[in-house]
Amino acid sequence: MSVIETKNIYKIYNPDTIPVNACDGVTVKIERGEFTAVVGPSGSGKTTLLNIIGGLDTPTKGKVTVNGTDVTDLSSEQLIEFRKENIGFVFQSYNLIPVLSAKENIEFVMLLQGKSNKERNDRVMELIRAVGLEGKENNRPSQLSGGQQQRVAVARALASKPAFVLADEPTANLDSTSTNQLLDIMEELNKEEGITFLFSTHDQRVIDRARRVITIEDGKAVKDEVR
Amino acid sequence: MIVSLSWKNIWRNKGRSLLIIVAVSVGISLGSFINAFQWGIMEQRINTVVANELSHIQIHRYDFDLEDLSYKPFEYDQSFIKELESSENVKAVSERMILGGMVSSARGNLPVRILGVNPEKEGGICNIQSEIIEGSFFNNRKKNEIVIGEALAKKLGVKIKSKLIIHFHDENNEDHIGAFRVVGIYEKNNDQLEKLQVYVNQEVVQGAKFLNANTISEIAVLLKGSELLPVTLAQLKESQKDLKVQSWAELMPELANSLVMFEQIQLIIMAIVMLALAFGIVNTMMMAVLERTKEIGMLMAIGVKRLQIGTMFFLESLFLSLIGLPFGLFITYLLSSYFGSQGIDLEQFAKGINSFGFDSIVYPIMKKEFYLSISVVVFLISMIASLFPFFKAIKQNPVEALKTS
Repeated sequence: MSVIETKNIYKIYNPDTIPVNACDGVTVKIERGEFTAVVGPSGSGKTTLLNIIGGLDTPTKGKVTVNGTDVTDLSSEQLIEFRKENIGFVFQSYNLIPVLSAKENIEFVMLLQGKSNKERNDRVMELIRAVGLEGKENNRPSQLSGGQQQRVAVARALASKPAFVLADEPTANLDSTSTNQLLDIMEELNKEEGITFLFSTHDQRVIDRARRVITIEDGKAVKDEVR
Repeated sequence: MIVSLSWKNIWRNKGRSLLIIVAVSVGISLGSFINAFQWGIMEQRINTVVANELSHIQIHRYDFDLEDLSYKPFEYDQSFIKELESSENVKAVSERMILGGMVSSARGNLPVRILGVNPEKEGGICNIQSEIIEGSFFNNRKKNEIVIGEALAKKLGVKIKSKLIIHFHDENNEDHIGAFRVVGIYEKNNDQLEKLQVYVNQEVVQGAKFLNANTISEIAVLLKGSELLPVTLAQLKESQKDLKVQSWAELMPELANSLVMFEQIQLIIMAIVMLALAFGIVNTMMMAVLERTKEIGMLMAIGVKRLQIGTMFFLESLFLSLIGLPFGLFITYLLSSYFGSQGIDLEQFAKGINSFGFDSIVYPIMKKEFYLSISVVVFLISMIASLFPFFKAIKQNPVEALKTS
């Protein structure tokens, strides 16, 4: 079963004034364990596609099935609940909670899920090790480098054991070393734990590592290359 | 989790949060202190009225009117007075003969209320003896002696041993005349009362041929405590149905009403102070929502419900007010304790204040129950103020919020 399946989705902004087709009949299927990059020029519609897949935005038309659930049928409150349980997010600018330590940021979603203290601690330590941040767990975001913050963000995205991770330009603010470290970590998690990653990116270093590349232009999926 | 996050969030910008907390504390303490000051003035006025003017309870004929100076005698029974004096609630009783009249000196004349009193009993019921600034409160019961207020003495240009002519009106409004010698001058810090009220010896007045020796026109009752007033008043009203039994509040309803009004004004002052502070808090928290829009988008994306995000901002606003509250109350306590014992000397304004019957030294009083009232007002206004950031936060759209820089 596909983890993500979009069927002919459209997203039209300003339908009554100057319509903009951010998604123009996109149909894609992402299988479990994929390491896929969605690429395309700025304004091509890749972020809109990821927002719709992530349940942050709703399509004007079409159907999106995530982990077997039609997310287009869900209310905004149901979508919040759905995202919490099924989707991990990594953002371009890390978006960690500045008043919480690395450990607290990672366990935050598990607190929302009502996981026990032991379960939370075990999972946090497991993820801290996985992203190579041992010894930094009590540091606040302001005490971490950009690369380290993004690794915390990856660990946070994985904390709830989601069906897949959506990463919107995850390396855009990172230097080469940090980008490579982050990609190594995500690739390892993908290969060893079978975690599905879906990126939107401009970064050639990410595109080079992706095993599937979907190219979006003017809201249409114009190319789908599996390596 | 949300509570803990809210608490941590308010310390993100320590300077800004501390500024609000200080503003809330100072606002509460100054607002409360103004109230304590006003309450001190009122309490002193009431104490003055009870101790110097009316006592707790007065008994008169039914047609008695405090503003009417005409003679309204009633026959009285000494056993009733004795019974009153022996009551466990009663501290002192004084029977008075009240006459309206005109007092004249070489310089002029003024209308006065003449109180024919028993000096010992009157001394027990009011502070008159301690208020004598010249002479004494009568020397000889049999002589035509008079004790007058300082303001009247100045107005009439008289001093101790000066002679005053008094014109009385009897029950039939007939004029009588008598010569009295000034033996004492009192000061009550109330120019109006000092000009109006003069004391003469009751035995002298009762001995006058035109008056009935077995009558008086007022029985003043001082209780051992204000808390005994309701029950004692009710008992006397029940037992003395032929007479008009009134509390000080019934005798001076404008003063009693102003007390009620003062309590309401106090809460209104606090509400206005808090409302001004609430605008500051709302403004700060709305800025916080704007500054953290991207974070709100992220929280919504990772699964935090709108209600939880709204609650987080609501609690942050509430914390800012409620942290300031105990500090504000503590400062109020310190201020009212210090000035409550030291007093605030309004000497430079004293003349004006005295003429209205207020003391020149004010001792602010912060009533215990007012701490609770302030807390409730602050809490309610803070709750309302906190709703603005709450609604602002929950209205955010995650996609739009995440786009903000």
